[in-house]
Amino acid sequence: MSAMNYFPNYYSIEDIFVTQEKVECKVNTRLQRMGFLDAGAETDDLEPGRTINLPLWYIKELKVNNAYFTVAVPDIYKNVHKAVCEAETTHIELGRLHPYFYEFGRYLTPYDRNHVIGRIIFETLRQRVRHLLDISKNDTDSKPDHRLDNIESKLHDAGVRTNTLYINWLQMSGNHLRISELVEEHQKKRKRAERSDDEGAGDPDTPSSKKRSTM
Amino acid sequence: MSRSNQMFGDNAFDLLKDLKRSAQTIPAFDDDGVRQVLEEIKAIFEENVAQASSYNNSGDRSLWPLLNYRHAALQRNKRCLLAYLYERMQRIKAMRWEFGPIIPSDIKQALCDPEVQFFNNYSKSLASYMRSVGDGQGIDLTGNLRPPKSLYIEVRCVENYGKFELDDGEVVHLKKNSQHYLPRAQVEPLVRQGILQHIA
Amino acid sequence: MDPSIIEFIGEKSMISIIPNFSNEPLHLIYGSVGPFRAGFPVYVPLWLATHLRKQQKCRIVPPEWMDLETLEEIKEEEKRSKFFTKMPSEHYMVVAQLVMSTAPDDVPRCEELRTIIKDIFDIRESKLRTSIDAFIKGEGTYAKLDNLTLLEIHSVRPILPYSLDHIARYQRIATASQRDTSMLGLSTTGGGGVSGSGSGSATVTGSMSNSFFTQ
Repeated sequence: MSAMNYFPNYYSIEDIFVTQEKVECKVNTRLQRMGFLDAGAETDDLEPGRTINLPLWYIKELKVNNAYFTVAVPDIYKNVHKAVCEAETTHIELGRLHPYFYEFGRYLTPYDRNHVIGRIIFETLRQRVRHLLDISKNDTDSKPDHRLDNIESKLHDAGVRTNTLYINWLQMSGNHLRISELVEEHQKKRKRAERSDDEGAGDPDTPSSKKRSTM
Repeated sequence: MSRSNQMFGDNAFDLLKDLKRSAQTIPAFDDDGVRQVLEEIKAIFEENVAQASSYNNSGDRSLWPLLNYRHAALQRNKRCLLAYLYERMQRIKAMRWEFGPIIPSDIKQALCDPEVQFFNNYSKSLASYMRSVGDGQGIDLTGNLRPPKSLYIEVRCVENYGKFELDDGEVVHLKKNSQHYLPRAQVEPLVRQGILQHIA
Repeated sequence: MDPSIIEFIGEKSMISIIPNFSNEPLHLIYGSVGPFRAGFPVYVPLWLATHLRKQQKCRIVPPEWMDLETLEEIKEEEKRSKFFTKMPSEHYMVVAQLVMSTAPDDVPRCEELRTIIKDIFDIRESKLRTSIDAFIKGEGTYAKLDNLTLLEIHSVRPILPYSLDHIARYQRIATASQRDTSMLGLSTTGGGGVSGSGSGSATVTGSMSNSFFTQ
């Protein structure tokens, strides 16, 4: 399967994951019968002054200056500001800060009254590309998950793939016919299922193989 | 669901979590999950219709934020649901290229009826397209994905396959661990299916 | 692009062989080769040369540049120069790889040559990454990368165009969010768009255009 670059569209699962992220919001006005959004609410209504977490998919439907909620921009972006200014972002463990550091930031940019988030995500990636090129060339098997955000990790994968193809070519094995990726994955899964069947324990993650064994 | 921590849209999101967890295969079609999402959409829609009509009578705007929220939730559910179906469709298409026209039965069981139908139709369209190109001779677009280097290749049998007839009528017995020197074009599908292994 | 496809393209380069048989010219789809006269050199495409060599039907005459002294000079020049120097062949890596693996006996000092060619490639690759980094961090909107060969260009694809796509997306966000402030420190370029690597990315993005995106 050919990999494509990430341009989220309506069907993009990655984008749906990003928009599932919760954002802290302050309630500005009494909102009737919306108390269910607040775990600590004592009435049916959502009371002004309360702080609640709302999913991004809802926030992004609201106007930036809507009368209901004020979006609190998470500190993670402020916290890297200094590193960005000093061009020292390479060592930040971005994946640990937020798995969707860039895309989450992209959505929050309009809500940031200091107008820095957009600049921060732009500069951070700009500074880290060299590092990405280097690590995808050098450590092929150990993936530094916590260091990379989702976008970076996809770029890293693309780089590793290119490098592996090149190394295979140098070793003259690039022209070998290979088993299909999906077939290989399916065989592995079948073997796992057979093994766990032998041990008498079903694999809860493979409903299809369970179905098969009951037939 | 109003007081629980469960949010609107969470069921629909779970469908996609399931897909993402098994990125290389296709999980069983989640009939229950899909039905629950459809029910949630219907419930939200009916509540909103009722409220909208009461607004028409009273002109009371105090429930607008709620209406708004529920409408966003409805759209969210719809997006998750369509993305679920769309992603599965992409994977089903990929399977045609990787497994060929026949997919293993345990994978087939993970598909719902319309998906099986889709696979068959897609497979047929692809086959008739491949027959139509190449000056009436047809070209197998799923083969020769890389420039071939030689007409014959050395292969080892990974599993017992049985008799295999070559285009020239010669019959080879493909027994586990046996090695053969065979025409690349004819054995490529078997290599792709993991029955033979291409050795140097 | 897969190195095996780059190899396929490179196999069209002509190379001299000395056949040990005589034959009429061969009329092939792309043109005719031959006639072949035993003991007399003739130019043929590389793929034919390696094919005949494997069947012991010829000896390959290594190209003139496949010579220790010449390559030593090229290597020094490559180290000295800030820019990429012109390689003796657009497909020097492919030619070297194929000739040296199929006919090591026809190439004097084959192992030494192998090392030095690899050195040249490595020097150029690290130069490429350094200049990419400078380009991304600088304010330039395009980079001139004359004299890069196909294989070298593809050593940073698709990771580089993908990265540039993202940087451009975030640059737009940063610019948009700062439009109403006076902190506009960004160079806004209106220039031509760049799409992914031709792998089907639907959106055309970016204010960074770069000479090596056009294949």
